[in-house]
Amino acid sequence: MTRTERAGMAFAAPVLALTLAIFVIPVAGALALSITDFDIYALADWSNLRLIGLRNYTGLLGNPLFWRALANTAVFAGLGVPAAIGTSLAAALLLHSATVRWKPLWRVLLFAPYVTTLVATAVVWRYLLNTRYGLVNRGLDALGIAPVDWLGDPQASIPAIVIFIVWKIFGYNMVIFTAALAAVSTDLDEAARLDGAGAWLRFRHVTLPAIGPTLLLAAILSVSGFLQIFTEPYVMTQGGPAQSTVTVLYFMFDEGFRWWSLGSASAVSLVLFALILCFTVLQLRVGRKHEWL
Amino acid sequence: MVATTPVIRAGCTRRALLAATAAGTALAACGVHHDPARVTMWAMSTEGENAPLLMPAFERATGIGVDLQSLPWTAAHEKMLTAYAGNTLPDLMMVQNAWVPEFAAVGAIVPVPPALLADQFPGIAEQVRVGRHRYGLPWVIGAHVQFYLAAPVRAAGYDRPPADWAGWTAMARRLKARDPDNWPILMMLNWPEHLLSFAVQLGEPLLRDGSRFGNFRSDAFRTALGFYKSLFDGGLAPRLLSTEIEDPLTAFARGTFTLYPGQPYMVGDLNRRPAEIRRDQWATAAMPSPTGDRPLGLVGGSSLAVTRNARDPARAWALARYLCAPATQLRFHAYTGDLPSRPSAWATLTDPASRTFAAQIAHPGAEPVVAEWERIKTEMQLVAEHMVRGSFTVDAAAAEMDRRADRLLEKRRWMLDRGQIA
Amino acid sequence: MAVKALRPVLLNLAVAAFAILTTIPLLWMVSVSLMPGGEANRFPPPFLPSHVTLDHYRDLLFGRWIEGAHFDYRILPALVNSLVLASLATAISLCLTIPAGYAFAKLHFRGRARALQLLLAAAVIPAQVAMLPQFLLLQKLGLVNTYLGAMLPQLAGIYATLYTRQSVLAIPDEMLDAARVDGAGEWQIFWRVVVPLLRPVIVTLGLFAFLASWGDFLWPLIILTDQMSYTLPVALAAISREHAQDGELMMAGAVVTTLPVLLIFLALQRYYISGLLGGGVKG
Repeated sequence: MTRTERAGMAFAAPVLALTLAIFVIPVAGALALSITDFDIYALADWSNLRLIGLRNYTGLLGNPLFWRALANTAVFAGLGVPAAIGTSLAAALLLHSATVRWKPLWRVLLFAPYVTTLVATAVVWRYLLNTRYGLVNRGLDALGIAPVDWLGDPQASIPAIVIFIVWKIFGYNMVIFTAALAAVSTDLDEAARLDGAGAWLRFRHVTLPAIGPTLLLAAILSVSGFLQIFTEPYVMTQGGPAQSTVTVLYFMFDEGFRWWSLGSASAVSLVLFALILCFTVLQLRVGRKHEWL
Repeated sequence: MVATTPVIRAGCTRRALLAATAAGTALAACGVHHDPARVTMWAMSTEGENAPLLMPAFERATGIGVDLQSLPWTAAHEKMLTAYAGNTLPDLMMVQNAWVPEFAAVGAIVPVPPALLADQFPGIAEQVRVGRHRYGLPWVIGAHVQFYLAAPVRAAGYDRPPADWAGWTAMARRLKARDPDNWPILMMLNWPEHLLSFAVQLGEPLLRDGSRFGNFRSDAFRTALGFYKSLFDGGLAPRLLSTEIEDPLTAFARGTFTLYPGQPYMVGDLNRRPAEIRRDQWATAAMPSPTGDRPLGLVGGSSLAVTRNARDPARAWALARYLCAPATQLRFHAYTGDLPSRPSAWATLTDPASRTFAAQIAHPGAEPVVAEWERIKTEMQLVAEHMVRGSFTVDAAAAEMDRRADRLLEKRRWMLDRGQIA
Repeated sequence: MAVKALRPVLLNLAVAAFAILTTIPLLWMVSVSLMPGGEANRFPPPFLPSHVTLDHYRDLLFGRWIEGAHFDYRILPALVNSLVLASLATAISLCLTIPAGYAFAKLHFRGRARALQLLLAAAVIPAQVAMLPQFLLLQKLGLVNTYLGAMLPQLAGIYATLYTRQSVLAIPDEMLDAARVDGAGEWQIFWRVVVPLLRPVIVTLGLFAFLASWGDFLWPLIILTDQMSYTLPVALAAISREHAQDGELMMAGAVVTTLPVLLIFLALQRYYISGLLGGGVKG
């Protein structure tokens, strides 16, 4: 072995070893756990363990809370992704506009929520969304709109948390989109303007196609993020009201670390893995197609 | 560009870096260091926050230091099981009586030395018995009773709330009619105690067949379920979760709710707010029963258990003995309102609420004593919440509760059949 | 015409309004933390404190003495834990991932391509899938409730390795070959040639690692069982379950949890933004 080879192996070994030990082997472990009924009895005594094949998975399919969690997660993503991407795009467009001054200040202010600690801001928003004493309802009141029972009405709980999440994360894509907008060729835009096209037409036919791939990629990445919501329901609603904010990850945490049904929790985690994998593969395809990776 | 640096220097840098990484990793592998001479203890909520007041006397008398941690109730169960799984349990732990069978079944807690077991209420002693041993030393006990505001009840024409369901509901309706903006009754939709307190009154067990299957479809339980639902449907109780109402006692003090079923610790909480509510403005009464007589109630409490990770069980039991001594329990009662577990300590209790609690504790309703009960209770309440919000009828809800209970008990049935548990 | 002239004004107003709306929750958080107790639970909710008080911070950080007993929210230990954990995790993960990224880019060794594929495949695995078996594994190793246990999932640093690799690929091979010809050892080349060139990358990755460790919630919630070893997010979540009625106290806790990272971000903004745009790092 040459010196370079030795050095290369030595340098790369720790990360590879950790990856194997921390990710690859545990995923195999999760597969194994998911075909057992590992629970609190088994934790006490391994002889209480049974191999039950796919019973965990069929159990999940027959568990209404699991479907509820899937549905809730889908609603979170369905509401959240457009809202987040749209807000990021709006902010990016504003920051991109040539006539706006003091951009660095606005950029820092608009990005600040992204850097804040999630648990802390979730606690803050829990109070902001309080039906009686929260600022959000006070703001609505100033606009003449009746107060909404944000965290108490099963219909309003997901939108409430989505508002919080959008506030928290829109800065990330705002930065990405700002860079993408800056890369849009000004020649084309100038030519369109000289041809008499208004701002909206220029946006639709020049800007949008140019940043389209970026938008798409960001959207797909966002979905992966929304599939992993846990902290917000844990801190703000404890999964309620009426389990309307139980997400797949929250369900997995409950099954696994609250009730210690590690077998069925592993099955849930693998389902989650499969879902996220779909979107990651989609992301890779789109990325490759548009020469991003 | 790169001068031929002596190999030694490069070696030093690399070695230094390796050493630093190794040292950092070794440092990181350390856990929190607990002084082995001190006893670690976990308690929950009110008890956890007030127990530090009891410790200085113990430390002075025995020289044993105590490290106390307080956990919130909503996270306590999972934290304890996680600590059990990770072998990081404290020496002494406050365990809700309903959880004792579960922790005993997995060997998380050890039996109580018989010498400490004297002077207990019979119903409570049964709750901590698993097989031939008792696994917890009862510390605080409580019963589910109703706290009510005296003035609105009097204004509605009653000396005290009626003892039967029909009369109680009638009073609540009258309260609502007189004050439509507020609510007569406060029952959190995510707390199973309210539904359970109605259910145990009818005398039917909640699980059947040696606790192998759910018994929620029994007529008795469905009656209780129907009554529970009627309170919400009739506009007498709001559909609220505990997460939505940050300070229920302030709401109670302000008159937003007139009837607030609860536990003894609320006595302490209310007494701590003399500016908001005076002692003569509220009172307690037993929860109403279906016919007004035979008032079985929801009786429970928390016990102290020494865990299997205890480094020095003798010291831990010494602390437990101190905390459960009648004199200590009376002091604790003064701080929190929690009721002493020792009957001998009851003689000197003066607050009229104690009489209500004593009467209820003398007639405990039966709750199942199985490891899965905590989870079944949680599922039961989730279904009840859905029912109250209109997703289930009473019969459908009972069937769903049974379905979920049966599924949760499957492992227990398997282990019973194999003879692995009694 | 008038609209055209108004457009800049409108746009500037729009941005300003947007930015102010975004900042209001954070300002309110600070404002409430300074309010006297019970003031936030008034209707209509106030925006500014009637008078500024630091009581909540004092109670939160230093506890209170009542009748000879000490009541402690244990936020100060949590703050120390967060700092130590984040610092250690950052330092160790940088020590592991930077050399690895360099190796994958510039040092050919047998199986390198295969190993890279392994990394890319593992990058796809969401952290939560492995959490349950990871817990059992750490339980067997006796690492539950330790710093190492809390940071272990983060140390593998796959994205950091890939990002480093991307950055190192830009370094011309001639530079490294020249150094080899001069007789420098592999480690020397790495330490004296590559690392100085990677300084901005190191700062960026260190920043991301620190922020990720600080804000990590689910794993510390699972692995840290002792209140004395909680990190700030876990401690704050625990307090929020019990003390929901103390809004002012909770806001003080939120400020303590989020202020350090906000300050660090403000100081190192440009590294953070450039890291985001590098595309290889998950923020």
